[in-house]
Formats: sequence, C-alpha cells, structure tokens
Amino acid sequence: MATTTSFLNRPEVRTWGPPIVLLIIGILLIVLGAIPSWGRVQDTQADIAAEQDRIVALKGKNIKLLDFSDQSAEIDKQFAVFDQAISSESKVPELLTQVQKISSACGVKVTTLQFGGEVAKAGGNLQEVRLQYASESSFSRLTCLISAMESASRLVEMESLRYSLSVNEETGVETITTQSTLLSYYTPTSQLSPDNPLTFSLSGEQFLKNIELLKGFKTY
Amino acid sequence: MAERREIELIPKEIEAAKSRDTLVRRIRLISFLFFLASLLVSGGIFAFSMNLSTKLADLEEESARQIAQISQFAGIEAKVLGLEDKSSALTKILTQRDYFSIASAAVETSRPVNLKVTGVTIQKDSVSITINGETASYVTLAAFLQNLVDETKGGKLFTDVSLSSVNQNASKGTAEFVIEATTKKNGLKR
Repeated sequence: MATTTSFLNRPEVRTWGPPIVLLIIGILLIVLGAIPSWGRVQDTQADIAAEQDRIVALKGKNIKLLDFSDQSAEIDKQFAVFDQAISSESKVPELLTQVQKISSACGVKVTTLQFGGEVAKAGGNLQEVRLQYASESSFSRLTCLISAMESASRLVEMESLRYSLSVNEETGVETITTQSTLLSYYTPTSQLSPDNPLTFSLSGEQFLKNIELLKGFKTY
Repeated sequence: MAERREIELIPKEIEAAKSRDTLVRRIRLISFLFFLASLLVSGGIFAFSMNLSTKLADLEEESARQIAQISQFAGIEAKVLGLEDKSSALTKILTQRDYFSIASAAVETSRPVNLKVTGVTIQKDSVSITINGETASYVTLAAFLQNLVDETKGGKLFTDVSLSSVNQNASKGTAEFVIEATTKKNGLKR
C-alpha cells in the first residue's frame, strides 16, 4: 500500500498520469464503444429500410387479398375450370378414369392403363405424371382417340405413339393395336409465404386468353 | 578585457519550468477534451443505436400484424396461387405440345388407296416418324413417297422421306416397306 501511494505521489506520475489515463480511456471508448456501435447502427438502418419495404409489400398484398376475397365466387369458379385441365395433386388418380372415358367415347378398347414412368418436375410449380396405355380399335377410332386426347379439357398429351395393324386370319378383321405413353400434369399444393408477392390478376391478358381456350375443350 | 553578457532578469530554470507547465496544461486540456469528445461520440452513437433498435422493434411488430392479417386469407391465397400456377402451366403445355393428329392426317392424306399403312411410330419432340406399310405395287409405293413430300398432301408436314427397307412377302404377294419421314421443325405444334 505504501509502495502504491509513493508511486502515485511521484511528481512525473502526478504530472503525466491524468492526461495519459484520459487519452487511453478515450481511445478505448472509440475502439471498443463507438466503432462497433457505428457498425451496429449501419446494420440496424439497413434492417429498418428492409422492414419498411417489407411492410409496404405486406400492406399491398393485404389489399390484393382483400380484393380477391371480394371476388371469391369468381375465383372458385375459375379454379374449378383450371383444376379440370391441370389437376391438383389429390386428383391425379382421376386421370385413369378420364382416359378411360375419352377412349370409350371413341369406341376404343383399352387393354392396358396404368401409371408408369417417373414423376418429374416439368419446370415451375408443375409436375408430370405418365401413363402406360395400350388399346385395340379400328383406324378411324384411333384417329378419333388422338383428336379427343388433344381436345380434352383434362390436358393429356401423347409422349409417344406406336400403332400397328394386325389381321385376324380366320375372320379377316383388321385391328389397330396401339401403345402409347401418355403425359399429364398436376400442380402440387402451393406453399404459402407472407413475403411471396401476388402478381396474379383475374383480368390478366394471358389468363383471359386461357379461359377462352379452355372453353373450346371437351369435358369427359 | 571586459566581457559583454546579457543581464538575465529571470533565471533560465524558472523560464523552462514555466514553459513546461504550459505544455503540461495544454496536454491535460487536450487529453480531457479528447476524452470528453470520445465519451460524447460513444454515448451519442449508443443512444442513436438504442433509438434505431426501438424503431426496428416497432416495425417488426407492424410486420407481424400485417402477416397475421394475410394469414386470415390463407384459403383465398392458396386458390389464387393455384390459379396462377395452372394458368401459366397451361400456356406452357399447349405451346410445347406435339399434335400427333397432324402426323396421322398427313400420312392418311398421302396414302394411295391400294396401299396399307400397317404401323406408325411417333415420338414427342422428335422430327422423325417411322411408317410401316405394305403394297402390291412398287408404283403405288413410289406414289406414296411422292405424296408424303407433296405440299398439297403430306408435304405440309414432311420435308424429307427415305425408304429404309423393302421386303417382298412372297406368301402375300406384297412388298412390306419401312419409311423414315422427317418433319418440319415444330411441324407437330400448333
């Protein structure tokens, strides 16, 4: 204790001690306090700007949703029409019945109809589903089937088509045997995120064009 | 000889001590001012930072309120997104679709009456179509090949045809043939 007191009482310590201590504390305040705090301030300012933009976007989305909720009847109606063309995931099994109905409408006898091939992503929020299809018919009925598939309200596409003519030697009846891989599509349930913007419009040009297009398709 | 010397009224040591005192006082003042400035700057930044944090917390609260409102419309949002997905997919699918009925019609309009098409193989996105058939006459087969590239018949779709093989079926008295027909690019699209 006596040593410390005598050290503090030394004239050079009494002269230079206070300014040096104040300088050191000042430097420490800047290095450990001001500089890191300034970094945090800049981060917070960026966060505030982002949050303000987010609120603007969220408010815009809220207004749009409010507007859509006023048109919910029209949305339900259009959704049903589009869901008929490109079904939701839960309705994929109905594809078998629809293909069977299209075939029956043309008088084509289905011999094989099963899901096969890989389920693949077709880009965007769209999935492909494949069917292995085989049938027997006459040529005119096959032509009818091809046209019916192309104009069916449920979008079914022929990925490959192979048909061959065979003649029953006893009866002389000609039969067209068809093998095809059918391609159809579905959309998985949309993942909702409050930050995802709504860009859709019921009065969009392409949407209105698609509504007109679907009116020309036949429902089976 | 007399030496001239300046008369020093204040001894040098006292003057040195005075100037050292002045220096010390200045350094003390500067260090105090520096300390004060750094204290003010640090304190100011800290207070500003606290103010910004409070502002950010308020904004986050407002965001949460907006999100809660959006979640009330989850059902309608799911349908709108679904509609958007389906509509954009429809455009894409119909643009990329190959219409096999075009190929079927092109083959049928090119086929002479006494020639039988016994098989056709078509693949999506392929420009090649395989046509199998049989005929009793090579002249008819030649006509079929011509018709396939005739602009008024199959030529609307096919740009080139080549006879891959011809086999004589002695038991039936017919020639069985395989034709590879090349379609126009995007010829099966509408």
